[in-house]
Amino acid sequence: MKTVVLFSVKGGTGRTSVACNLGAELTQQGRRCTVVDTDPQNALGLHLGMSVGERFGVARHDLTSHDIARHQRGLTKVSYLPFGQCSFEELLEFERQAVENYAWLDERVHRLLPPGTEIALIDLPAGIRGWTYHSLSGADLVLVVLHADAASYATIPATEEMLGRCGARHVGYLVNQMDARMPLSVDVRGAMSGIVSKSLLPFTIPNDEAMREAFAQQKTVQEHAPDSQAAFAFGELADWVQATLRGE
Amino acid sequence: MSAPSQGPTRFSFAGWLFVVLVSMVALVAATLVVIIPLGLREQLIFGATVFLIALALNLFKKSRLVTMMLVVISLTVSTRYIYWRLSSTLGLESVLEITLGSILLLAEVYAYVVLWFGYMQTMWPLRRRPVPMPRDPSTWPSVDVLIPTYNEPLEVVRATLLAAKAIDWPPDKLVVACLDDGRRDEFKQFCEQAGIVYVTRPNNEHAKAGNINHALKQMKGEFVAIFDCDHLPTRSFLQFTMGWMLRDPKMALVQTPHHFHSPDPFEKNFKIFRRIPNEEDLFYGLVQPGNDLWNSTFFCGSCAVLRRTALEEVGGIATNTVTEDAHTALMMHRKGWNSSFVDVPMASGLATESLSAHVGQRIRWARGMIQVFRTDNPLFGRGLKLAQRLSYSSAMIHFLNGLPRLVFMLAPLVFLFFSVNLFNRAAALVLTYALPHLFHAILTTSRMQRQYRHSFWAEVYETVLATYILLPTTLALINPKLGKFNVTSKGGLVKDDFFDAKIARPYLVLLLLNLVAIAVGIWRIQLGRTPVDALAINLAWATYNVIMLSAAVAVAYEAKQRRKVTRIALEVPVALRLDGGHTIRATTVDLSRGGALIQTPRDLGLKNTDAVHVSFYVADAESAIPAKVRFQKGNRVHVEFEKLTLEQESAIVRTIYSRADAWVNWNDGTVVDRPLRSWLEIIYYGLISLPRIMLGRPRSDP
Repeated sequence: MKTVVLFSVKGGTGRTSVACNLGAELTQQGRRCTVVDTDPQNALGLHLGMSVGERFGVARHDLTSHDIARHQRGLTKVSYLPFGQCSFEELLEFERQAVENYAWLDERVHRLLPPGTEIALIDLPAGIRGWTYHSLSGADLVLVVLHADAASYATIPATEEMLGRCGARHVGYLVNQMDARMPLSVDVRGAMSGIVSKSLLPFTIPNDEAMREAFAQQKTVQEHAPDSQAAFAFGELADWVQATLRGE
Repeated sequence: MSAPSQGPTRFSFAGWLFVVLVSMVALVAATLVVIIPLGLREQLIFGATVFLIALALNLFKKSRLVTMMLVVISLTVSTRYIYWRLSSTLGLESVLEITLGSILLLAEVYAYVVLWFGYMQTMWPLRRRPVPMPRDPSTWPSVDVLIPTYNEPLEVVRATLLAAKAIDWPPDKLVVACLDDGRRDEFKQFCEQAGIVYVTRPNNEHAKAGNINHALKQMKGEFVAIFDCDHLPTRSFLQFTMGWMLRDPKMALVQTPHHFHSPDPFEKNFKIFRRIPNEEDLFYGLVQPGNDLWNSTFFCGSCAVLRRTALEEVGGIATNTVTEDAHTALMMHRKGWNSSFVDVPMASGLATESLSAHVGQRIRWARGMIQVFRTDNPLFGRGLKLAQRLSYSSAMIHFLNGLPRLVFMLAPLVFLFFSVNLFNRAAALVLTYALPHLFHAILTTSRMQRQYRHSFWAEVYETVLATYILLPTTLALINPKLGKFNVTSKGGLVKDDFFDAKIARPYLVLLLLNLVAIAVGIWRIQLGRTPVDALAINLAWATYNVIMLSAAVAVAYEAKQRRKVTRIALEVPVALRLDGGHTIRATTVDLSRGGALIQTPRDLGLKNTDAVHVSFYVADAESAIPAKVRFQKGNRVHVEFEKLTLEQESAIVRTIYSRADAWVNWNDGTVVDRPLRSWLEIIYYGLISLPRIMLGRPRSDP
């Protein structure tokens, strides 16, 4: 099984919707793929049909195999693992365990993944936390999601340092919500190509209203707007991810 | 080693002896075939049998050996005809008959010589492919790309300049220069904005050649690439040509084909664009590759790279003739330099827009080539190999076809009007000798030229030019100094459908004469006083002339050009960004610098003047072009681009013109030659034009 971790230093870059749409695309192409939410916001499942207030998730420590099976049966399109609703104390405990034990989160996730999963897409919360390093270092591929703006550009050095330290096997920088009508965006992406040229993905996910509409309807963009450039771009992303995981 | 050796280099004495003996036997056999006289019946059987054999051999479409054999058969049959002609048909009586008969004979001998030359030039086209560059770009040499211009509009030249900037080459080793003989401010400003060197000189001496020579003094590149101001290079141009320069230190010239993305007057007025090979396809598809075998590819003025040291050795681009390009190549060959032709189209330009512009350009070439023939004759003088002498001579004497063609157009009239005999033999016998000569030439030529020239279209092209190049070439033969350089205009718009009666006048006159001659011939048949068989042959000949001339007249009926900027049929993926924030994945159907026709996955419900953005993806970067919807119906949207920034314009130019494979599949839709069908097509085009001309309002070009 291969692990792809989605990461960004800055929040609001659209990491979660990228994870979900990528998962949907990979699933459509026949890969057994599960998207994992490790962000206490617990928002990932909402993209994929989860009901608000769903309690099942990675953060729960009292899950029985019955709970797990019930969750699996409830999956309608893409396989996903929510973070789960937990109390403040449960959250603190979660973070303590994740920081202190290198492989703790990893094992937890593995236990909950459906058997036969080929690709796990792990959505990390924004920013650098105590256990970010652990998650990144176990990954086969780290996908850094950012915007083509100055704020994202400014996070690149810190990201590079982090990635260098944890020795991820493959790294890709994906520009999300790209609006090529804005000269500043075009310039910033050009500048990014200058400093991380080898890892910058050659395509971008465009800023498409269809993606926001899809989320509002709890659909993937492939379902909601299959003709869009955004849907096409996810196809390109899925191809790129698979090729990279194969080592090409 | 740039050209392959012209024969086996290691051959034992026994081997040579064998070849000599076989050649002698073959020569004796051929001579017998040529000179043995036969009666009418025997000649008929002989001619028919040989032709049937040739047809059978021709079934092996791909064999070069069969092509050689057919060439040998064709030349033998034609030599038999000429021998018979010279030995048996000249016993004419009156002075008039002898004079006219000799003129016709000379024209036929010219055609016979051209046949030999033609076969030699094209029988083994060297399909030279690009040679890879060394891995390390820091070892690549410096290149100056020169784009001379005089009075062409900036609108046309700017695209070429941008495309030249987009050529893949180490940026510190590439200099793009615009050589502006018009000394125009807007050009200077554009070049400054785009990072292009702007060069001017105080006078316009020697036109384009002088312009280039002046710039060469200021440039330092080891190599020079030259493009006409409307020939846009692809990004791969240098990488695909410079390999040969590095491989052979004596290589002075690498020439590539001139490709046109707009229709020439024949294609436009006949609407045969991209279905039938155009006039230049033969030259760049077959003649230059043929020349390449003999190391006699010559410079064509554009789409080529030259070695600076070679140019300097011959004193720069030649200035004393009107086709300075071919002459420069000849001078370099004389000094022992090599040339080559890389058979991949890597640039694209605009064809001549109107018939008069086309004729003007060809007159210049004809005059220039004859000037070179006179002042620097390749058959004489030092430095050339025999094959090079013959190749250059072949190219040059081709332009002397004006007079022979005129003779052929008038010959049947002599008999039909005045009963003057030009042959003193029975018509039927003439046919049994002449028809094999013609049929074999058509068959063999068609086989060799399959996708580069359709049979009989050559006749149309040459008929159109014949009367116009007659005078300039004759003058140039007498005194090469006569004549000045007249520039072919690019970018002019044909505003309305109109019939260019001025330029069609000679064809109309000849057409009329031939039509009247046919009428007279028919009247003579009824009179019964002249032998019918002779009348029949001349009537057939006159009919053939009528068909060719009506096609020539048809070309003069200029179809209106609907838009100023050329549209290219091209499918590239794009994204449409609509007002409201949605994106749609789509594909272009055709594309120009002014707009595009786009195929969408569904009906988008757009209205005229809606604002959209069209994103092009060039080299991993997205370029969002603002545009207005002009028209939308079903799955098709036509958009017109708004004012473009330089980056946006550059992106579009790159999309259309710079892709390395941009023109490689251009001729895929072209159908291979079938002489009979070709014949019918020409009749069709000739005939349908006549009513159009008669019903329309023919008026001359203002």
